[in-house]
Amino acid sequence: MKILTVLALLNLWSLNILASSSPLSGLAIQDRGRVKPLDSFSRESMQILYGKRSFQGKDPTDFLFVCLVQPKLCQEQKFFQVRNIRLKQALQLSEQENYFSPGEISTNPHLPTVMAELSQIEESGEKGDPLAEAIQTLQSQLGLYNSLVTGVAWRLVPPKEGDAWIAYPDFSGPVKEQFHTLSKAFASYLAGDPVKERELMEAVDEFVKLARAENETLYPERDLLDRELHFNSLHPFMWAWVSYLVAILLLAFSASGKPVVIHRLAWLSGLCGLGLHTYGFALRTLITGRAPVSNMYETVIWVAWGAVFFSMIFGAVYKRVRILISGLSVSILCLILADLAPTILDSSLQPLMPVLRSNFWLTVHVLVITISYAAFFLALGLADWGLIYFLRGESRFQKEIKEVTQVIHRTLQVGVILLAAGIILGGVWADYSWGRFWGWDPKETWALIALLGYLALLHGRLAGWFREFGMMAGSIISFSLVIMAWYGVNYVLGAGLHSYGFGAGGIGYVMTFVGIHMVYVIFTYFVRQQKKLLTN
Amino acid sequence: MKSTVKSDKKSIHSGEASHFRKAIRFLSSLKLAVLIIVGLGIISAVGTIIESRYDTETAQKLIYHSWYMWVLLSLLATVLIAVMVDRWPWKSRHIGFLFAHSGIILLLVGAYITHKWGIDGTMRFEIGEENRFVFLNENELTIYRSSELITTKVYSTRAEFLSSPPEEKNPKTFSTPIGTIFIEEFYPYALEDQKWLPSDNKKDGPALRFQLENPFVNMTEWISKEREELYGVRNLGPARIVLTLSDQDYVPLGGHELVLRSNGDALSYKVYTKEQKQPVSSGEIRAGQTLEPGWMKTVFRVLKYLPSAKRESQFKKLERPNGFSRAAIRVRHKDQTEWLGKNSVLKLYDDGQLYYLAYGRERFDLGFPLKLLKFEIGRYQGTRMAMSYESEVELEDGRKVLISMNEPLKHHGYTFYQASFEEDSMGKPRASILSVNWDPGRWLKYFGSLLIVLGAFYMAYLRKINKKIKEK
Repeated sequence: MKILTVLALLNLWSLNILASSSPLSGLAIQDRGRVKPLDSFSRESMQILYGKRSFQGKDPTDFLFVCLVQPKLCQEQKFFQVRNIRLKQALQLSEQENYFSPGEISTNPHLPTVMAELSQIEESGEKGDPLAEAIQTLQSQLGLYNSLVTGVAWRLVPPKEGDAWIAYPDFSGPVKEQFHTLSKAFASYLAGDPVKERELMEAVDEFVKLARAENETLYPERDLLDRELHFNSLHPFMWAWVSYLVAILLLAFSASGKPVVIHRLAWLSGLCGLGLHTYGFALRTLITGRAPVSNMYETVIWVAWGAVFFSMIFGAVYKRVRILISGLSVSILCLILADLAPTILDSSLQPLMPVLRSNFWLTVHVLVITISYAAFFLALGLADWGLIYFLRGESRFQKEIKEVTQVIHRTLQVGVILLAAGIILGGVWADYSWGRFWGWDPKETWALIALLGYLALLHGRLAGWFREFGMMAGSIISFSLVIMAWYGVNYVLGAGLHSYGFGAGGIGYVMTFVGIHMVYVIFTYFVRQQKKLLTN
Repeated sequence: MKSTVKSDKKSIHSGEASHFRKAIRFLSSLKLAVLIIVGLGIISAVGTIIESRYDTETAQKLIYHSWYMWVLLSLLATVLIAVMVDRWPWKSRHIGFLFAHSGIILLLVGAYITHKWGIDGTMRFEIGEENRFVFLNENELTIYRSSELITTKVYSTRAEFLSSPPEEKNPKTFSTPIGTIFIEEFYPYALEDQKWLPSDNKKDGPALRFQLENPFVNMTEWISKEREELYGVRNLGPARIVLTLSDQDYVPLGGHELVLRSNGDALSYKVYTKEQKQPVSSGEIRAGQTLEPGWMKTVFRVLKYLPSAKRESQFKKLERPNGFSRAAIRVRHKDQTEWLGKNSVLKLYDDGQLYYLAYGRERFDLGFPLKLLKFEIGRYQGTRMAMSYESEVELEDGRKVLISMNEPLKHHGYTFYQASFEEDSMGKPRASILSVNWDPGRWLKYFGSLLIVLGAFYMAYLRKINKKIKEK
């Protein structure tokens, strides 16, 4: 057992290694409707400008602060991400490069023509034109960059009255003086002198003291900011999927008849991952003060959690390694996607639309519906696994096929109950806040279609239409309904009342995922037919 | 196809093979149920695609509230009932199944009651305004008689043209107190284009078509002074063009203004600029002539001038709706044929008496007024992002109530929800929009929902536990 404890501790220790950040990161800033640590602001800003959360290994806060105090240094750095080929052509930029300096862009002679083109596309009323989207992105990049350089983005001091924080150009009195001291200290700190770092930290502390004195009630408490800094540096969801991956490897290893201890280690690693996953979720909830299921990113994380949770329960009940592996794989897929596609899945902590605020039923219905998706996702993972048995030889793996189908059936039942309950709770919520139990809104309609799909599958099994192969193929095919309800309505249809979750992009990935699965099902079907013919 | 018909199904009704039994047996087949489920799914999916390509109203009227949707749902209810009858006599293991299935039936009945008798509409009022009318989702044609002081409703009928549009040869006819009205054509999505024609009625005001041209702008527009207006006005960004009958009717606001005065066949003008109170130039102008008001090298050209003009609306049909389009119908009454856009009115005459024909969303009288006292938007700190909306309304008994997001007002059986708002061009809230609702099917739907959840839960878990208990 000692080994286990050591391993668990190691896992947790490794988390703090990455936590070295700028002395400025703990300053409070008001940005996009929320007061947050400068660290969060810088990461989110870098995400918009550069597409990643840090630039060439530099701390994002340090990097952006340079833009304020020494704009010339920053102007020649290539940190504007432009990927759209048509846009690069229009601006006559190098097509091979993806990153450009603000200088190259803002003084580009073709920029006005491009902007005129955008308003033309907008007037024509066409939605989702990739060039228009690219120009809009560039527009927001330029806007953000200008506000960073001119200082209007740096809203670091709370106002004496009202709620709009004061930005750098409007600083006055001792605050202004202290900010200059701080800027000077920053310049020498950049040179890399450790003594100067301490000076900078003192200057920061003094500035915070002065800013807080401006309005005690508006300036956030130190531990609130620290909590968010902790969340930013911890990367709980990344460590969660790493732990899940370790668990899968250990499980695979233990399946080949190795000692029980490896099996237990695998479970422990999986539980560690789930713990981190839960912890990250709890931190997000504490920071934003709401259940984190209000955008695509957050639901992806939540579904990943649910898949592991269900697979652990079923894995423990049925004592089959493949259940846990299926759940963990599905979860890893979700979490890696959430990590890798930040432009599609926005991980920043955003304020909510009015209709979503502080409502118990809202939270419950979204949590329940999305957790049902986790069950369906797990069923897909299990079906992926189960179809392998068909490929390897149906008659040899009769027992395994029966077992997998039984678990799939159970998982689908859980999913159907949760989805039905979630849709009804959604109706209750809609009735409560809009006076409409059911309004054929695309999001709710697609959730219903997914439910109907699985109901057809379960009833079809009773009718004898679907047996083992049918159940597996059905769980895979029906999951595309879930994908439509979960992702497609917001990213493809783009209509309806649930428009607060709208986004764009990622259709390629999703279609690949669906396409591969369809091919897999069809391929297995034909292999099976072939084998049947041969045996007859 | 292999079929595993459950053994208890056969044993129960083996003796009597009446037609009723046969029908029940057919309707309670699982395969039929699966087909209905799949059919509902496909229709709903088509609905969402139509909504995405067209608009919500089209999807609602063509798919979700269509007759075949109701037929399919009734079929579903029939199958659910048949399946429950088929299982008679019920045993304890049927509880989950019975709960879930009867729950669905109650839900469907509730939904039908809501659809048939419920009220679901919106109510708009500007700040300080009183309103007692709710606009429903259905459309209607209404005729009002207009006399000196009052207008009275003389005729009203439901008017939906989306699912079966009228045709030139096969128009929709409505017999009204002022004679038959024919609807000859219907455009679900149309853009309005207005033009003016010479009028014989000297009471009709003047209209002119003009062109403004400078290095940045080249536009051609109409300006008109309607009978009931003091003057007609066109705001064109930094400049303003005014058409009036007499100089007394219009006082310049102090900006770039071109004031045109119509006196019979002649047209005189005065030009004002931002800097000066007095006109900088004045004179007469005729069709085909130009003048230079001295704003950014702009040339003003009169293309056509009509001393008395009547407006004619034309509609251009669109394949799909856009932000400016609306539905339009071509109306024929006696020898008058005209296009009428949705939510607007048309003048009709019968025996010299003036009538108005209105086409638009059905108006429902609540029977009591609400007055909007205040409307406020809460915003996220330091941004323009809305965080909350709330309307303060006064009831007919003088009570003041606050309606906010998620905090509706219940009054006389109706529920009023904060739905939306309108801003003026300065971003100041101007009007509040409430969603008004009366739902007689509500409790049936809630009860049905409860049964569904309980039943589904029972089927999945308790049955298994019961089985285990029996096995022991």
